[in-house]
Formats: sequence, structure tokens, C-alpha cells
Amino acid sequence: MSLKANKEFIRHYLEDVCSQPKTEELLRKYITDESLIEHCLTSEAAFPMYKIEIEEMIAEGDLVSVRGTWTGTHQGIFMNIPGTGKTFSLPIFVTYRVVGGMIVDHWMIIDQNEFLRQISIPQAQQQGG
Amino acid sequence: MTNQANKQVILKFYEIFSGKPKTEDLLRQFFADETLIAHALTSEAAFPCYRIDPLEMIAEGDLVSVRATWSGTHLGEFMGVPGTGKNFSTPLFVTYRISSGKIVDHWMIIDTADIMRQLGIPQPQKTGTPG
Repeated sequence: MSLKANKEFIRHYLEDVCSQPKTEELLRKYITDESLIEHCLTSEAAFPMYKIEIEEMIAEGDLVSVRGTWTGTHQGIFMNIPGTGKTFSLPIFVTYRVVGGMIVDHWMIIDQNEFLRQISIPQAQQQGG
Repeated sequence: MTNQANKQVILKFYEIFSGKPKTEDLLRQFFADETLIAHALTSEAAFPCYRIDPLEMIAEGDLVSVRATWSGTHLGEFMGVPGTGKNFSTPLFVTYRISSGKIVDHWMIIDTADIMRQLGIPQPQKTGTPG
């Protein structure tokens, strides 16, 4: 696939999976990277219907780098922390490796302190896990 | 400049600055981005001679996206905590915009929770990341 095709694939993937509940069946249409599928399912359980909106994409070879905004509502248990009902919006970088029209690998970062600030976990719960 | 030439700008910058003192005069040879200059000087004060070692670079147009390892030793104040003398090594993701051989804009994420864990600074409970 061309660079442009890889970018369009990632754009379509994010639009599709972020517009409906992220089921394993849906994710497997786009992803063969088991650790990414597991991350998405864990995140979906804690933050149903979370979204990644693309701010910028850069492609080279079989890699696509996305600078995005991750938004959601903390509704399920996440690392032993019960849902707080708080919404969050924070920067995220994800690099995907795309081979044969599927995501086969990924690298990702958020600032976890920024996430915790936004869901404002009381100190007692921070120490509870 | 081509996007491969832009990668060389970033590689040269890392080579010159990693493991060495970062003065404002030296930073201005590569940066025309005031917030990045301020960020680098603040980081240098907390972690003198810190390193950025690139793992992967993706270039397109005037942008270069880098996945790297940021490492250093905590000798000055960081997030209100005086130097602990401890070392850290953490992932860094950054996109630079290059114009005429200089960095003119940037977007960066580090996980400050990961650094605080490594430095032994009290911090919130661990969390995961989204897909």
C-alpha cells in the first residue's frame, strides 16, 4: 500500500472503531497485533465509546504516526479504580505499522499524570490498588 | 529541504546535545521555537547533560516524528522535588516542524508518571493506556 493509502486506512480505522462499541470482532477487521486488541478492549470496558481524534498524521514506509486527542468518560473499573463518571481529553501519540491492510504493531504514549489529574482520583483510591 | 535532510537536522542536533551541557546559545543554533528553548533549558537544569536517543524517525513534508528514549540523572528541581541523584530512562514521542534547517515548532509527550516512579517521587497509582 502507498503512504497515502496507509494514512487513509488509519483514518478509516479510527473513525469506524470510535463511532460504535469496540468489539473484538470489529477490532479484528483492522488489527492483528494482539497487544493492541487487548489494550482497546480494556480501554473500551473502562471508557465506553472513547475516541481518538486525529490532529496530524505522518507516514513513511509501513509506518503511520498519529498525533491525536484521546477523549472519554471513566465509567468502568480501570486498574482497580471504579468509574468516576469524569470525562477526560488529553494528547496521545500512536505509531502504527501497517502491512497488507492490517495494523501489525504499535507504539503509544500518554502522560498518565495528566490522565489522573483529569479524572481527579481521591488520594485514598490512588493508594488502594 | 527534503524530508530525509530534515531527519539529518534532528540526528545532528541529538548527536551534538546528548550527554553534553545545553546552553541557550547552542540551542539557538538549532531552535527557532521559544517554548522548546525554554523547555530544554528547564530540563537541562533538572537533568544536566540529559540524552535523547532516537529509536525511529518518520518524516513527511516539513515534519519529523521521532520515537526516542530520554534519559538522565535527577540533579536539579523537577516538579517541585529537589534532585534525588537517581537515573531515569523513559519513552519520548515528539514531532518537530523544520524550516530552513531549524526546528520552528514541536509537539511532545512524555509520561511524567513513569519518570516519577523511577525517581521514587510519590505519585498517583499506575494506570493503563488506551488503544
